Amino acid sequence: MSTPITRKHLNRRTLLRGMGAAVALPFLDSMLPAMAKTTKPPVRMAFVYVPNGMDVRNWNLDYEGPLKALSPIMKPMEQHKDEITILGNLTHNGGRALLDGAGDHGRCCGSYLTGVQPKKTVVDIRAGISFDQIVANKIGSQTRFPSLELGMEDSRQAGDCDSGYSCAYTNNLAWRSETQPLPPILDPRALFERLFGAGPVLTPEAKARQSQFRKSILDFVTEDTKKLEAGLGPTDRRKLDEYMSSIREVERQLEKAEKENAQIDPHKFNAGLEKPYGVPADFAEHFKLMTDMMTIAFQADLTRIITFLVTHEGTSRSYREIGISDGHHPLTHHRNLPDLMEKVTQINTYHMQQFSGWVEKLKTIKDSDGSRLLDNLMIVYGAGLTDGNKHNHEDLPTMMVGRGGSYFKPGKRIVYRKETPMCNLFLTMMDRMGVPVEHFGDSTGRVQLADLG
Amino acid sequence: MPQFGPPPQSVGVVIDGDFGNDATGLLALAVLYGLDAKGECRVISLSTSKTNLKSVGLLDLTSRFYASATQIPVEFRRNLAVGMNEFGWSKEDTPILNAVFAKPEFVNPIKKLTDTAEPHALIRNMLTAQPDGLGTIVALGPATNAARTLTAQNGPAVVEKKVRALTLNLPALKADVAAARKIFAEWPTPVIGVAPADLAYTTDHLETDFTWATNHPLLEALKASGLKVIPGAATVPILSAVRVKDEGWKLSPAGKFSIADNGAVSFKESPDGKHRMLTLDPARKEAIEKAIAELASAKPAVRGGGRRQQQKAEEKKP
Repeated sequence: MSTPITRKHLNRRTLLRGMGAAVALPFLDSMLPAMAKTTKPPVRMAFVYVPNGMDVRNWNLDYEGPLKALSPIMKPMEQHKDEITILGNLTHNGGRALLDGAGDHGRCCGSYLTGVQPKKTVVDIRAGISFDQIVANKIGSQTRFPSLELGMEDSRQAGDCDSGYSCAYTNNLAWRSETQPLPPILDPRALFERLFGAGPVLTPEAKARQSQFRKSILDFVTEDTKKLEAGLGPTDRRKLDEYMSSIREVERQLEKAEKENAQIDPHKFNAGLEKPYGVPADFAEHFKLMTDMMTIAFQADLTRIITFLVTHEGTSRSYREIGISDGHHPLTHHRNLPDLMEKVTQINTYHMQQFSGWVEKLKTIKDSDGSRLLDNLMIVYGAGLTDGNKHNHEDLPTMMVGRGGSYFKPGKRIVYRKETPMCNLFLTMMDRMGVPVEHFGDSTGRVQLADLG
Repeated sequence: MPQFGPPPQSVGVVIDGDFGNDATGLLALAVLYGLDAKGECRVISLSTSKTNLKSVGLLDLTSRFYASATQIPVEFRRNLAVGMNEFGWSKEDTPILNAVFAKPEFVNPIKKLTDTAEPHALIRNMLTAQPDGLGTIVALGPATNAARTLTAQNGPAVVEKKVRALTLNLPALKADVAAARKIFAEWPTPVIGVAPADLAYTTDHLETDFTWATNHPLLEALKASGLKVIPGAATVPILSAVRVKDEGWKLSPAGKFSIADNGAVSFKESPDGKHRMLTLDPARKEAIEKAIAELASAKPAVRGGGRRQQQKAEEKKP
């Protein structure tokens, strides 16, 4: 006897539309093909890049295998210990001088995902296609955005940012081709509008004025939402409600930031530097806003690849939020003075705290098969320099978060042999993303992640 | 590995061998560091084809010893990674290695495989930092690691651009015939095969020659050999690779090497060959032996050098 199929099937790419807005949906049970129990969620990957290396004294662990006590900088990840894999001895030879002299900040960021040594120049820039873009070229057509490039700080694309290296090297992670970097989106409002659509193009001032009367993006799609809800079961309705709430929460954060920024005289506080209206003054709020949208982007399968340049390489940003008025980069050249070294550790730890908050959120989001979003992610949190004082490029601080499609068994520290190319990790990640290639950059093989469980 | 100042002028030497099996290879290593001390070359990569943590540990200790003797601040020293073939040909501890590490002052810094680098990745990476044509590779043992360098991504291109010659210790090739064949067939730059040489290094003056050195790992190894006379044949590949214009060497016309299954190497002259046989000129034997004795115990020059390095060292003073 056959069971009658009564459930209404919803397309995975369904959008809620209205007035220039288009809101993608998270995975709902109604999207499962009839008779199917589950659908295997896609594997996604993200890179969270922190600049100026680390205070390695407080980063490194002195053991291998299952994670026990974490280092001071990793401490904020204590509650996520079972989700992380610390990788040791990964090296970027292309970040080294190799006869090109000073400029480690420019080189390390330019080589981080490209695996090649960038050309020392401020004019005719040349690096290589970054591996995330190789993956995006292959699988990007399956999502609305092949990849998203995000950041949180000035992204000048021209000029000399480090000893003859163009700012294009220090301020970008992703490269579409040898000569074409992909500048990150810095303004949360710009990202929001990219994800969900925008109204007419307005100046920042006009946008700020308009924000006083702004309706939620969700209001524009009310009609579609109502229609959709009518056909959903209680579980899907709850999922949809949670998802819409997370979007609304992002909007609230954005509006708050815009309101606060509108009251700031940029000439008084920012020495004439322009800051996009949607950028929260507070680092932690900005980080949360960006990562909340990254979560939504993954949840709604808007993209499967994100690169996130937390701040740019060589940055001299101060961290008054935690009582540090010195610039980050000058602090890393600490001349072994204990108080300066301690401040570097504090900045490194502060970054990790923000990241930990994002991981916490990712643990709570369910994917299409009931697994957690985090189970299907590979997030690499790392730096392109090992020690910001020594400017070295071996044993780069690297933390992998997630399970890459329930493939990796995290909760351990794996140390590879010295001089193991970082590109070997990229090859392994490309395999997990379904885009296997034989070589990338200076790879010598693949790293073992799965069979060490 | 920050780099300040102009590019180096002296040849960068990649040294690979089955270190620790006998005293001759370790004598050769001491000679190499003697050449480095005199500014005639730079040791840019150290690796062993012997799969033994004491073998690679001795290389690491040696590298640290000489780096420390130059008094260059730690942060400006060369990358200290040392390479070891994971699937090598001689895994056993040897009396020399055991004797060195039995001493409490010589603690092996290499505890596990991951304290070492894969030789082919290390060699390729270190070569990329050399001016074109100013690198040279000397293989005192089997050609395993040199051959694997050709299999690394970009390996052949890097070798072609950076390596002026590969110098092989011919009697040692029999341990890995396949690697030797790969080298003879594919190596893109000149290959110099060094024939056995009758050279001797007497150890009766070790104590007086090394008075400048405290806890010198190679001195300890040479003493531990218990030999009154150490064969100096393995120093020839090193000396000839660095002092290419020395009159002590006789170089054959161009030709091609081949190796039989039993490890016997033969050479045939051929105008289109990239290989050459190198032999010691017997007339120069005494002069070469004198050079070996002088170089093996040469004290490294203090290279505190560079304004920025001196400034750093100054800042560290209490």
